Amino acid sequence: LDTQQPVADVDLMRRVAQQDQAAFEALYDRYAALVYGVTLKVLGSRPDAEEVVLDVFAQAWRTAGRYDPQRGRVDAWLLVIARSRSLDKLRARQRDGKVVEASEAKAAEAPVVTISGPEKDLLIAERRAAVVAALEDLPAAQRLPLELAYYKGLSQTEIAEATGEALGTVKTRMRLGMGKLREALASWWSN
Amino acid sequence: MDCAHYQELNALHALDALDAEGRRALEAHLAGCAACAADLAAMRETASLIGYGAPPVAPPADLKDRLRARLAAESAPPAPAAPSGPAPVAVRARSDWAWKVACLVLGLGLLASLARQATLQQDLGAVRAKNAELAAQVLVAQERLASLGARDVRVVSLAGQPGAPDAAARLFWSPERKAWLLAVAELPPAGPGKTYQLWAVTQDAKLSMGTFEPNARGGGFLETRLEAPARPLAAAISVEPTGGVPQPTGPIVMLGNL
Repeated sequence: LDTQQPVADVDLMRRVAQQDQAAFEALYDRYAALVYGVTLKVLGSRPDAEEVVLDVFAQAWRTAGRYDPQRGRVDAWLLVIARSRSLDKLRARQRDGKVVEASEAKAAEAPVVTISGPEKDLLIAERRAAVVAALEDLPAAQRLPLELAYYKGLSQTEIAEATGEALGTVKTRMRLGMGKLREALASWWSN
Repeated sequence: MDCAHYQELNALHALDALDAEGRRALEAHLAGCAACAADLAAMRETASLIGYGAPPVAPPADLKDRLRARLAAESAPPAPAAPSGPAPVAVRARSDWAWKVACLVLGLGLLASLARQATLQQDLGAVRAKNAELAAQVLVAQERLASLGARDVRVVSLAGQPGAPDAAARLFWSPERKAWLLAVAELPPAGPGKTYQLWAVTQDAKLSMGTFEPNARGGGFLETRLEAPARPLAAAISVEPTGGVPQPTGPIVMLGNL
């Protein structure tokens, strides 16, 4: 797997579905930093985020056979698992009344190593650049509610309460934001 | 309502942000409208990619080992199905107190033994999982030892600095596979709230190679990879707050030139 030409995600997944450990580790190497970044942003605690990363990849290993390339991209599939596992953990923690120490949350924000450079991550870096650019193109008022829903699992009503905006305004902004995001990313992914 | 209305709801549903009422209405419509269902799938894909906006963070180097151990534990043969308990004894109700007491005692005994059996099954499952985890650790350790013999592996000694003058460390590194294996000896505990962090020092940067804690005898391993293209000039170990830091802040306790 250490070849110059990166193996396509769907080919990796096909091999993971056949319980090919090397393919699975290649999938991990490719996406662990992305998944850890998302879990860390949701949870703000390294130990919690590490636990969720383990959950996410263990689930990917178990359920790879059910992944259907017709129904979506591999990275999107992994991100859906990562987000839902992270939000589950966030809610469980909120139920238990656990609060992440401010210092811990702050430490979590500072990446130990930011991935950059290596050739094999080029594809991921391109996708990241596209998403970051699309998000930055949104007015902050549209981006914020999307991020509150994505990273904090808030509903439209909770976002209205948190931001002090009218519910109708929140809905409109989220709808506009999602529409623009979809359009911006569609032009990127299609080529 | 027309489809445009439901596709507006899709944008929010893709982020699970709809309230219960909106969700019910949308789901009822989606059940009978393939176009809107396809629109939701596309919206969901867009929504999931928002995660690319989170800054990527390399997980700690040992997380992959933990994942391997976890998968090995999960694939261990499942505990055999609990044997079904003794067939329930049908007892006809009698007014006789002695019978009632006897049944109660019997019932309590049965319950206690079932509970004990469940506990034993749980213990057995835990022991099996632990066993599989240890087997996986042995495999990892064997691979690690075998990798030291590879043709391209270079060995560098790190010398103890004033903070840990008696400590010794060897770094085995493979420029080809970018693999680093650090073995330390006689390194004192980093102290409460502290950890040791390994750094690859290049011309213009110090790259974190991960954190580690020596064992009770001061020994330990750190297996990691240097992904950066730059050629490392030196390896250093510093004392840092638990969890590690992006750039070294604490004293350098061991150092070696590559």
